[in-house]
Amino acid sequence: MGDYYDSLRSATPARLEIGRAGSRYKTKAYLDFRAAHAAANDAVMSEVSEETLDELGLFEVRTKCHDKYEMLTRPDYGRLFEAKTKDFLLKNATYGADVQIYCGDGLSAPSIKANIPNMLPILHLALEEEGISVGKPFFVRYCRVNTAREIGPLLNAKVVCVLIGERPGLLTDESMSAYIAYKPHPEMSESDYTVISNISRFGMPPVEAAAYAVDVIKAMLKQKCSGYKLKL
Amino acid sequence: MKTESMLSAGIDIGTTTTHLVISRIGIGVTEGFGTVPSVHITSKKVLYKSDVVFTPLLSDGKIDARAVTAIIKEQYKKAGVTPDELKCGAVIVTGESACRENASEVISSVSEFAGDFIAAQAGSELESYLSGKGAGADVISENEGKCTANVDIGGGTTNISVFVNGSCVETCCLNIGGRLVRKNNDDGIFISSSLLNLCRANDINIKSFDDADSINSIRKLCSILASKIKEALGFCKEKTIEAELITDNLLSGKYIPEIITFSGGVSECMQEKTDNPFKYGDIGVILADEIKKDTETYPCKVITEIDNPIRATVIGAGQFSMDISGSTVQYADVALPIKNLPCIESLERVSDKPCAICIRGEKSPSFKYVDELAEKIASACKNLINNNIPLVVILKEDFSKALGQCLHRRLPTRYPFICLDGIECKSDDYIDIGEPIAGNKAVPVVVKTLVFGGKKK
Repeated sequence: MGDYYDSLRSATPARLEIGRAGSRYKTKAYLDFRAAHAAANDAVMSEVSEETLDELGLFEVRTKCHDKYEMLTRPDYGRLFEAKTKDFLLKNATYGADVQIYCGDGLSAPSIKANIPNMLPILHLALEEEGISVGKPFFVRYCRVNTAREIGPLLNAKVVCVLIGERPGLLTDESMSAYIAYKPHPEMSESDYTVISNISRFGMPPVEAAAYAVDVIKAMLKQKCSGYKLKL
Repeated sequence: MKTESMLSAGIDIGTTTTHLVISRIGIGVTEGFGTVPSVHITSKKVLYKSDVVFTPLLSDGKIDARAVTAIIKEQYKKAGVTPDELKCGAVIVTGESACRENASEVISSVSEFAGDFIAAQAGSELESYLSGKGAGADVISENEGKCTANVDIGGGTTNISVFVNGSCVETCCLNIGGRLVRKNNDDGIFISSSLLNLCRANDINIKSFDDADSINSIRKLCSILASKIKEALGFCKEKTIEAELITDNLLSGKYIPEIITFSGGVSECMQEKTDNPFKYGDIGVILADEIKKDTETYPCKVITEIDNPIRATVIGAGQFSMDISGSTVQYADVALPIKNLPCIESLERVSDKPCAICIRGEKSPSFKYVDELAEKIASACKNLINNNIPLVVILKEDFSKALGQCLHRRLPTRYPFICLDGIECKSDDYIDIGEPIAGNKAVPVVVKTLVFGGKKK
């Protein structure tokens, strides 16, 4: 039966058959659990370093939030920008591109460093090869998905793609989602987003997720819609 | 979940009998909020079972290719299917190697008619695998959590496959079958050369199927053959099995079966009640009887009552030879299906001849790795590209779309190529790639290990 449990265990990263001592976890399982929980907390509360942004060649803007606490407690601020930030974006970002891709920390700062280096080149090269213009990518600190509702109209991009850190679990703190929308605007509905989730080296490989996102974006430009209306 | 289906044919041309089954394979596409669509085989259903007919042989003992094709034509007609409706499946030539001399000729004659995507397959390893799958030994091993072996006893060979948790871990093939001793056309007795030494050593003398001495000898021979099967399964301490009884190799002994299932024509005889032990003009009925007796001494659970034992291999061939690629394949301007493409693992071996480049690939690779791999492939395939031969790349790990996009940039405009993943193959395998399914998300694939009759190196 040993083999049988081995095969069950290898089928999922979930904590299966970790044993027990009386009614409690064994020490190793308990410590692993605590470590994963701490990593998840850190992922939410830590900041993406300027060094990382330099390496990725991204310039930075931030939402109305002043720190992580405000971002967590005021979701509305996490989707809005100050007027001066909007001016800065108009001066430094691309106006009227077919596609605007940007990155946000969301609920996982480590996801940026882990996935973005393998996603941006795929997206840019494949889209530009098709003659689709792609705006200069940037980073939004204290970012929520619905920043897309502001960024889309502001930069007049046809398609907006937000690469944002997912709420971390106990398996990995590096997961990222791509939220993609055709002509997003403040009144749009949640179901107008097309989402690719679980992007990480433990889930959908970042290179393959980016390559799939290229197809999704091409389909949006062709069908002039996104989310539940989009036929893939 | 959206579903679609395709018709599949399994055709088995054996030493003794030829028959086929038509199955419907259901394919489901799961899509959901936030998930990349995935394409799976969701159901398999047998729609038609043909008559089981004796394989037509020429006077020199080889298979009569023309007559076999005629049989298949007739059975298609009875089933109410036309070759162009059949989108997948396999034709296999099984059994005694002497009859397989013209196997490739038979297969090419049959595949011309059988359907566009009917793959030709052979090799004792694959037969063992397919018969085990067709008998359901894989499912038993998974459901029971016990090592399960299937023993498929046909006219010419006995194919053993061992399954652990649903996957095949080992196979072996023996030259033991119901038709190795049979009546000749001129009423004499034919004894396969692989049994001659065994008969001599054990003082077995078979002159006819009528006299009492001969019948006793046949019982004795069959009882010895039954004990060889038991030995091959790993239930005997001593290894006395003769080299000429081994088609390819023996099991390693690493896996001891806890459940045994029986399939094949001889196993069909185990279920059948008959008064005439020579009903089929061979030793099949007596062999079945002796094996059944011997199974009472097996130290494990034995299942001899599976449904339709004789059809295990053909069901396996029709339902389990096809795989579906990962659901993020990348292709452009390529004409599908592509058939019988030789697989090459090393880029240095790529010449100017059509081939499929098979690479395992890193799990969740970096952009740099993918981009460099694309560069390496493009430069290794210069001669291929000069000859305008479609570029086919097959990955195990999930990044074919990323690699495909990186390759596309490096190829001439509108150059035909396909890049797919989720498929494991190695050098010297052959691969067939079918027309895209499930809204062009994935393609059906058959990986073939083609070894005609010969022993494994």
